[in-house]
Amino acid sequence: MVVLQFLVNGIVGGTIYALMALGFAIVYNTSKIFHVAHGAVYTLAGYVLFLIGAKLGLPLLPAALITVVVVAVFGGLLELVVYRPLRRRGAGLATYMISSLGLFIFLQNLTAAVFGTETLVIRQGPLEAYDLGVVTLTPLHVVALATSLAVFAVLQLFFSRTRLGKEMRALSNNAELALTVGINADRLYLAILILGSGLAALASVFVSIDVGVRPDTGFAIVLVAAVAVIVGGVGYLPGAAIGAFILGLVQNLAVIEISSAWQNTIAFAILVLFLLFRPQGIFGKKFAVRGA
Amino acid sequence: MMKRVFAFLGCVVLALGLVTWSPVPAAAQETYKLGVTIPMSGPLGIWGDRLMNGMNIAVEEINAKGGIKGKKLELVYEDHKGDPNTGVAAYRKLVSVDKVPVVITIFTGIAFAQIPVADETKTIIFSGGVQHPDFTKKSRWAFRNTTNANQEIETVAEVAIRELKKKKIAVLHVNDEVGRYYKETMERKTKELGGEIIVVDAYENAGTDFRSQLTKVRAARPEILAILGTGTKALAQVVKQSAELGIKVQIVSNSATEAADIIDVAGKAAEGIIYAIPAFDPDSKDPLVANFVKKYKEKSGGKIPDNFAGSFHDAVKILALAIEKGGYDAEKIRSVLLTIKDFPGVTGKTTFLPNGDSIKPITIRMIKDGKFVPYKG
Repeated sequence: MVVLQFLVNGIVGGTIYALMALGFAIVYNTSKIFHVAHGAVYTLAGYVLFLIGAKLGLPLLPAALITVVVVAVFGGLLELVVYRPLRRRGAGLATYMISSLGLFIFLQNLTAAVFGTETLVIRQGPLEAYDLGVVTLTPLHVVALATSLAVFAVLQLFFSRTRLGKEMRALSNNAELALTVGINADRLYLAILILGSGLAALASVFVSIDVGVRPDTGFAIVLVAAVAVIVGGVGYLPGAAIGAFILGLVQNLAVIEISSAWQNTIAFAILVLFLLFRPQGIFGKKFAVRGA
Repeated sequence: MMKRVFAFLGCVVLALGLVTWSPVPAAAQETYKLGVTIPMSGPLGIWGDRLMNGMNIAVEEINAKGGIKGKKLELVYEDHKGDPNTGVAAYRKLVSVDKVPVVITIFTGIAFAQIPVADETKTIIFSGGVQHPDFTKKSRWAFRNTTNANQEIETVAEVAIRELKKKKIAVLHVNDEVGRYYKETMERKTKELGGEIIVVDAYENAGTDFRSQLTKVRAARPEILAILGTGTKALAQVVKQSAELGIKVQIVSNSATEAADIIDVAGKAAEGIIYAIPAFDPDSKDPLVANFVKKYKEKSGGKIPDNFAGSFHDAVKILALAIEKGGYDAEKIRSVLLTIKDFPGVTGKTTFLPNGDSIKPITIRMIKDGKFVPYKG
């Protein structure tokens, strides 16, 4: 039953992708910013955790919490310093994307310059493995899964019950209408960047504790997140999470037959298939119209 | 007003003159320079310090004894970052600007890219670490002060099959030029010795998550896992994650084991790994080795040198000897190198073969109680 272990790997991987993809989708759906710098935010979180967890020696749990908060605030700064001034000047989609890409390159090189380009390891030595016969899991994976599921549930409540969440959905569905009914867009965009960056930080915390941090990991994962959003269907948040799980599962299950070197290629093969045969994504039909 | 402008311009010209023209040429004539291209940053960056420490100790010792024929020896370092293009540019810079007759280098991918430049400029490309057998076949200017991969990987196979009496082998190799050669060598030798390779996969030096490959390994239920790498943290991460996936089989590996920060990164997952490596024992009672280890510890803040720090240290000593005997000229250094027999270094006795390879002793070591120690049956 080899498949089971790959399935578990896929679910764990999919959870991480889902956190990233949700963060990306929240930003993209509402602001139409193709937030490539999301990947740099993800990388930065790993280094923040390295600093306070490994260098200052804080226990991992408080270190992880502080990291998420610090990086979420940093995301807010991106909105204030970069995206808001651009919006004031009436930037188009391409301007946002190029600025975001520039931001990404700057942040990635900054982390590389400060911390070096080799892998930094946050925890020394192996974790104990729970051996359940056909499947092995580490406590970290269990915590990552449980936390992420809790976060998804909280997000669901946030978007359906709270005023802020509803306003974000309104902005996502029809920005012009939302603004005419008096929603304060500036405040919302700020909240959106903070929330999205917090989710990226959470994903990064789990991965960094698990396998360490490198300056060049952000790009691959933000691309996977973008693919997940397209696969799930732009405009529908749960779609991004489901797209992410599909990518995680397919990437990991494909390894049974294909060399593991092809994992990222598989993600893009899926993207190409969707663009050819279902460009609106899995849930696109019902929701894309509203999002547009 | 005009006076001021002239005074200012005068200062600028003077400053430029000082910067561009002053002490460099004079110094160049007082020292024998050797070029060095090694990774000091990038994924292979962990190699930089250990190689520099090893080589700098050699330089200091040579210069303390009055240098070579009264002139000091000097190493000119360039960071090739593990990137072939950077390596080629660095090689050209060393040869054309610093006029070195020899460039010491490491890593197969980079060295292969540099070899045409060595041929073109008629300079010696010398490595204490490149193990790909083709390295010395490609050029009459290529020398190595280390065993070639055949010797080392064949020993890994022998350990697995003859020594540990295991037949079903899983192979994880680093996905680069030399890694693929390791894999082929392992396959050939395993077959020869009557073993069987039941699963093969590759990992990237720049990767961090190797669970997919390891899940494959686990599923195949091997009796032994051979990890054939070049020394980066990736190798240590493979070991660590194998334990986290519950893989409990014996691990065998190659000399990269000692260069991967493995004891820090993998901790107790690294316990018991057995690996083949060119002979170097930091615990040796040989005064040559003891002296080297002592100086290395002083330089590195207490770290213990590994085989590669040793082989690069010896490389500098060997080249200094060749300059002393032959002269500061690539062709002359080359002809002296070819006559070197049983050169006593910290990595044992070295003899050069006519093709530029060297014969050096190889040993089997293991990780025990968080230390690299000789393997004893």
